[in-house]
Amino acid sequence: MMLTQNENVILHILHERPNLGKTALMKIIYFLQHVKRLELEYDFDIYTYGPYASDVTDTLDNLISDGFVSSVVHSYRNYSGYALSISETGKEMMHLLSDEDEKEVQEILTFADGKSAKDLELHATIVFINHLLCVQKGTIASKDDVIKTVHDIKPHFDKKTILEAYDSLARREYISS
Amino acid sequence: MASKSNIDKEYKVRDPIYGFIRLDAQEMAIVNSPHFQRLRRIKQLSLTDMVYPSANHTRFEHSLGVMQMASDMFENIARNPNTLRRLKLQLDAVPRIKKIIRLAALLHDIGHAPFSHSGEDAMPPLPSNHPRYQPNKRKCYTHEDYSIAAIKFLFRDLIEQHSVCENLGIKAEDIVALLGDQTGLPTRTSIIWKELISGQLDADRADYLLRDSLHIGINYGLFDRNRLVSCMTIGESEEESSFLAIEEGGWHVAESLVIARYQMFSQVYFHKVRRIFDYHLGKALQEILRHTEHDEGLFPEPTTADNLMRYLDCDDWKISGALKDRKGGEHGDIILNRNPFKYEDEWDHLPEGAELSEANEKIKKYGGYIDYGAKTKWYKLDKDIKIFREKDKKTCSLSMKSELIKAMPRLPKVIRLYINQTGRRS
Repeated sequence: MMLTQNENVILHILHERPNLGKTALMKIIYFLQHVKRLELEYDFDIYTYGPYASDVTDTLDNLISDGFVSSVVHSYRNYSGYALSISETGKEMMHLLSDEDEKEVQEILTFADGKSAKDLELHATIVFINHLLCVQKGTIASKDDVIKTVHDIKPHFDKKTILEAYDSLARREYISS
Repeated sequence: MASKSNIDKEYKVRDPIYGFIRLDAQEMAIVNSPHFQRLRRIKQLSLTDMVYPSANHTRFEHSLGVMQMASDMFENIARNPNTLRRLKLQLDAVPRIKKIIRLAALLHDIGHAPFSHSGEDAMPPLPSNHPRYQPNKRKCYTHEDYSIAAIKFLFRDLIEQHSVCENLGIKAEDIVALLGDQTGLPTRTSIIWKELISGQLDADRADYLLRDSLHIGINYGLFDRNRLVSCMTIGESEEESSFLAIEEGGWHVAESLVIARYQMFSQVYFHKVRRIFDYHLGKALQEILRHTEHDEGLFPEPTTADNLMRYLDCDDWKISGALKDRKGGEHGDIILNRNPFKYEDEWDHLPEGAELSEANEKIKKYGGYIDYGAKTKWYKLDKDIKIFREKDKKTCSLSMKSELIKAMPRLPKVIRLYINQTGRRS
């Protein structure tokens, strides 16, 4: 059985970062597709919890039902979520990524390290809004427009936090500024 | 423009699910427009009547129903002061949001192709300036793209200029934002309320499960609608902003909705004969379009008002007429004579090696089709439903509460082989 590119990338992520939360996985996939241009084919839309593509969940469900990924309940302070890990069978099924893709996956995983699901949600939302503004205007989006829009849809983040996240993304050239 | 005497008038339409659906003058004007009336000629379940003969209801009554369901859900949420506080919503903002939700729900299917989802195979590929375009991938327009374009091009005046709405300042863009439009900027209003139109707990699926069950004459899709509506709420957590959820006391009704959807999928939407008719219809439709519209067998792109008018001119009646006139080719004749390819075999995994070669050999010899449709977007348990406990603000997922949901197959793989019996006999 041959894995698809989407499935293989997810297995690589979970191989490198066992016990990853579903939200974190979703945002990492988003960064890989929209920042690093990996050839994944998900349709992301924006929701209250940031960019989300239901097809990512489809891929994950396939991997879980095939026994390549395990999913266990993990309790946080006010929330219970799923922690995902690659299984032994999954490790056997996984095949090598191209050197370039491997490098991009490692870079995004390092970027995500130490960030909470909430942080990743904010960073991914900034990338999403920046991309949307660029497509709509046909030019580079202004920093003010991005921050204003993100603050409007996510008022639980203050403008200073959004600005810091924006600058950190711009420094890494994850967004054009 | 409605006359002053008609502005406050309430219209009531009989409905088997809700008893009565209530509309104001603006909504009635939309319903009476020719493009909305077209939905009377788009069957909700395509050729499902080839299996369940009474499945003849249309997108027209479903659209009215979704408006009523979404409205009931929103009213219940807005009745709770805690939810208004979480959303930072003032009471005086409620009528405007309610109106946006009602119009989005009413018009959410306005761009459906003839025979609903079966007609989507004839939708053209996305241009490179579309937000969903991806290089090297063949992404196509969806019926949602046509709905969004129809609202912007054809319903703008009725939405923005009608007397009922004149103090609310509602724009067509407010409506399409709830339907997934990515040409405008999302707002707090749009990202939370679009889940009432297309989300895990949305009014669309809540209506079609009940309505499809009723019309087909089965009980699989039934759940307690009143209980569902009364348990809808807005939760909050430190990790996330506000989100649509079910109050903890009502998680069983959320469970029954998911099970109803699973049953409807396995017993109706993915019925083996129904699925093969989707295939025949898709092929026949492309053949008809090749003769009448475009050489490529595709609908016009939803990029101009003129294109949309041509697209919306196409409905089930027009396609059925063409089928009757024998313009649907081999697959059109199969539909006319109800002589579909016959189910031959199925797999619970992607066939490969010898089994795939054997299947392809049969298809080559007799004609046939492999349906990989279990991956269809009709059946999804994508986003988990959130269960929110008010007293300590704790959130968890439905799949953690419910052992039944946990045990359900997430994406059952059913891949079927169909063979042309006429080819085999000859």
